[in-house]
Amino acid sequence: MIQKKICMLGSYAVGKTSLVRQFVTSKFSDQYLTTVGVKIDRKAVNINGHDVRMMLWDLHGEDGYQQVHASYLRGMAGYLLVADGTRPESMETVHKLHQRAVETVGSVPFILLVNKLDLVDEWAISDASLDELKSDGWNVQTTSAKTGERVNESFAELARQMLAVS
Amino acid sequence: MHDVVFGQYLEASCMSSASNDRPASTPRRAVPRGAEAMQELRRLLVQPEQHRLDDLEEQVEHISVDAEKLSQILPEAVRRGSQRDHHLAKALAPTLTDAFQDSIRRNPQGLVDVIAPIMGPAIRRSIRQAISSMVESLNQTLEHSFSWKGLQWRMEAMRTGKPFAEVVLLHTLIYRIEQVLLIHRDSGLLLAQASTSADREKDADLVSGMLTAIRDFVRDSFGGNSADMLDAMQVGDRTVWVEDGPEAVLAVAFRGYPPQELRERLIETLEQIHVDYREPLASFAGDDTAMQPAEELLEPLLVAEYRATNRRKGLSVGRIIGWAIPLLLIGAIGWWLFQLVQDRYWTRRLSTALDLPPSVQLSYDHGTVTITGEARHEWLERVSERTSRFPQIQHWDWAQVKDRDSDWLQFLKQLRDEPGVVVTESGRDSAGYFVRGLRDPLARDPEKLLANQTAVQDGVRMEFAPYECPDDAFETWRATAALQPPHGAEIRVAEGKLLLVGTAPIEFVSRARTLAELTLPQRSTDETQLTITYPAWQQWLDVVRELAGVEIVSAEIRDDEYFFEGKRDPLVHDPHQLLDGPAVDRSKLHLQWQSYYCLDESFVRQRLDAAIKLPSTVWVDYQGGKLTFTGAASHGWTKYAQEKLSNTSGLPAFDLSQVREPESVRKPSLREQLSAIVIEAGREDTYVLSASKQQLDDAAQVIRQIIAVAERNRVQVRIEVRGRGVASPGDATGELLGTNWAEQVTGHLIDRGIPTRWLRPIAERSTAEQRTTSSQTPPRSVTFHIVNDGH
Repeated sequence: MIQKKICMLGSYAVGKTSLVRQFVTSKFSDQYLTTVGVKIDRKAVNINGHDVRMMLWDLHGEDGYQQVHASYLRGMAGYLLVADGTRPESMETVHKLHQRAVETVGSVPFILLVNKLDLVDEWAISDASLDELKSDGWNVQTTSAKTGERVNESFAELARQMLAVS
Repeated sequence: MHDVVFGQYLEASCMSSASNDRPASTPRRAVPRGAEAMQELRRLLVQPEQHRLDDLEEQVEHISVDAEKLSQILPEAVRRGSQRDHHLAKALAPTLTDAFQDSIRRNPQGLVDVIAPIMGPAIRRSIRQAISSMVESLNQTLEHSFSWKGLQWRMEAMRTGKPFAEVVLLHTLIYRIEQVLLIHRDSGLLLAQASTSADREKDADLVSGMLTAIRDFVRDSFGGNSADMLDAMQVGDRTVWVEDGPEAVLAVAFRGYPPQELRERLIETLEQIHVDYREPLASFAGDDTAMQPAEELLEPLLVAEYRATNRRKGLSVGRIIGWAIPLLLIGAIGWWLFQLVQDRYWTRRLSTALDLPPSVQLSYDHGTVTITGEARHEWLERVSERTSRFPQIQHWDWAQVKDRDSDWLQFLKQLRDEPGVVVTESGRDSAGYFVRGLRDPLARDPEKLLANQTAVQDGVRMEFAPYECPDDAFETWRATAALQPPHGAEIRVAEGKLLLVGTAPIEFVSRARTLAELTLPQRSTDETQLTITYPAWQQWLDVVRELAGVEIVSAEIRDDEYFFEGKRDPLVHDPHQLLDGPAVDRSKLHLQWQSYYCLDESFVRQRLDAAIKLPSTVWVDYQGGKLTFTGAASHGWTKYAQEKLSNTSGLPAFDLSQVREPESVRKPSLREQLSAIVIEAGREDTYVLSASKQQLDDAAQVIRQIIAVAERNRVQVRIEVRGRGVASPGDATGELLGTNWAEQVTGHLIDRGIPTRWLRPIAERSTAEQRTTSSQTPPRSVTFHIVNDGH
């Protein structure tokens, strides 16, 4: 059995926990419960005939008061950066966290998930900025933890990338 | 081996390429000197390599590998490929998987043979561990199940809701390691684990991650350096110890208080793992396959240590008694309580199940149900049917419950048993008991039967329709009532027949036969024990037999028909008329008469009177079957008489020879004839008169004639029968004797048909004068005298 540590990184209330919940249990709740510290979940997926157990470290959201400690990131094989499409400032956090991740574990597969696709009308992040990231080699996906849109695909894609690296 | 083969191949290649290049080397010598020298130097220095390079180029350009060559180079090629990167493995994986699956499908046993030696020990070890754990737990549990401490712990288990085994464990355990986790230090991924429970194994990966996260958090929070890691945690009654290694972390979860040596063992184990799995740990990228064998090193850490139980105290008598008495007491109280609860439970359950009426009490005691009070019969019946639903009840005691309807039922039974009474419906409604049915009028009155049942008299309604009970007894009664059997006869109906017993007249028998034919099923009588009498017939016969002038020749009964044959004097009236008296059925009477002449005196005299007229001087005496004529008559009359008598039928022989001519004799008068008869007493002092029969007959005959004359002439006379006894003067004995004798003689005369009213017995006074005056008369005698009656 191949195990991979994946960290969910992003600002507070961008939907990290909801994404994990949607991916693991296919459920969604409107109720917001802030994550304190870290919550670990797992899901086994099969990628190209390989069974991969994804250990999902759902880390607390980063904000002005608390930083995600680098020690949580150690040993991760990939990570998901999560931004809230309706909150442009969440993109800044994404960049900071990405930088911290690279500093901690080097270059490992990651995907940027711009969440809350169900609220696309309220989005404040321009496609141009996302395209810019894509042109820098970032894998950017737009997801909705609420509807489940592109959630499973994104996690599977990350798993695929991690397997390819190893 | 491969290297050798490959080397030979290269050498051969160089040699062949060298021979091929030889013609080409000649023109190179024509190169200018400087250049030649350089060329020569190059040749000298690198010619072998040059040739080899040329050969290789040749081979690459003209690659045509045959099987032989391929077999030589393939192993080496695979080895090099594997060393370089994983592409070869990836490329071969699908093919190898297919081949492997195909091989297993073709020969599964082959796979089993291969993996059995590998899997067998692991499986055995796992089973052994499981059994060992179970036995250990069982031992602990059993050891403490029945002790005082065990009871305490059981109470604690009940109070806290924990399983008893767990409570035992808590109290007896010094420590027990329940789970060992080998965790990748950086990623927190689980590398290997060992556990006493399969449940714990499921979430070991999450636990590993969280443990790592928590430790990171703690370290970050308290700002320590990398060496300052959280190495112990207390969670409830469990403790987690963590030992850090360069690549991996060893965490053990346990209960109790292990010795410090455990730390050392953890460190030793972790070091051993780092030594044995240095490479897999260093290159760990998520695949834990290479680390799985490390579990063998973890399993020995799953140790437990228990407190030694103090069981060597010894059993003194006092100790035994000290335990036994309270135990017995508790046992007895427990048993008593159990019985009490059980009794109450059953009492309540049965009371509900049996729908107990208020007048009935039920008690349960040791499997016996006792029912007391009073209950309706219906309820009792219903309950007795339901008892089978309670097989736990060993005995039902009904003796103490009174059936309220018992008197009524007894009365009903009596009614049902009563001959001539049929109960068709009975029961009880709001108004009370009722019974309906049929009753033979000859049967006993149910009301009278009820009168004896004082307990149920009130409110009983009885309706009986009349009917004829076909029982023999009733048929007998009816027949008896109808026939009124005479004394000496009994009747009985049996098996549809009328049985007649005893003696009974034919008239009764006839009626009985008719009755039997009309009313009884067999329509017949049984007369085998019956003697039939024919009283009317007999009576008639008796009358006929006494009748003068009639003689019975034969009289018999055949088949209840009367056959009579007789003789009858023409002077006698037809006796048929006598049948009007006794009830002889004339239709069954067959009479046959013959005429004859009766020679009785009366018939003879009647015929004589009819035949001839007797002169007053002639007397006829009929004695010895012969008519003797005496007296005086003329010869002509004698002749007439002779002729007339001879021609008259029905007359006996006659004698006219003593009829004399007139004046020749005078017949003494009846008075003289009577006076001439003297009956003398034999002895002086006896009361018995020895009169002769002849004298008495003579006296009777004369008296009859006197009577006939007197009646004919309508003269009132009386015959004095005088008895004379002799006694001394003043002595009454003589008079008594006389009276006695006179009465005796009077009796004899009455016996001879003289009516009493004609006779008067008296005593004749016998005095000296009388004796002298009537010296002809004997002193002790009876004489007869005609006297005029006093009118």
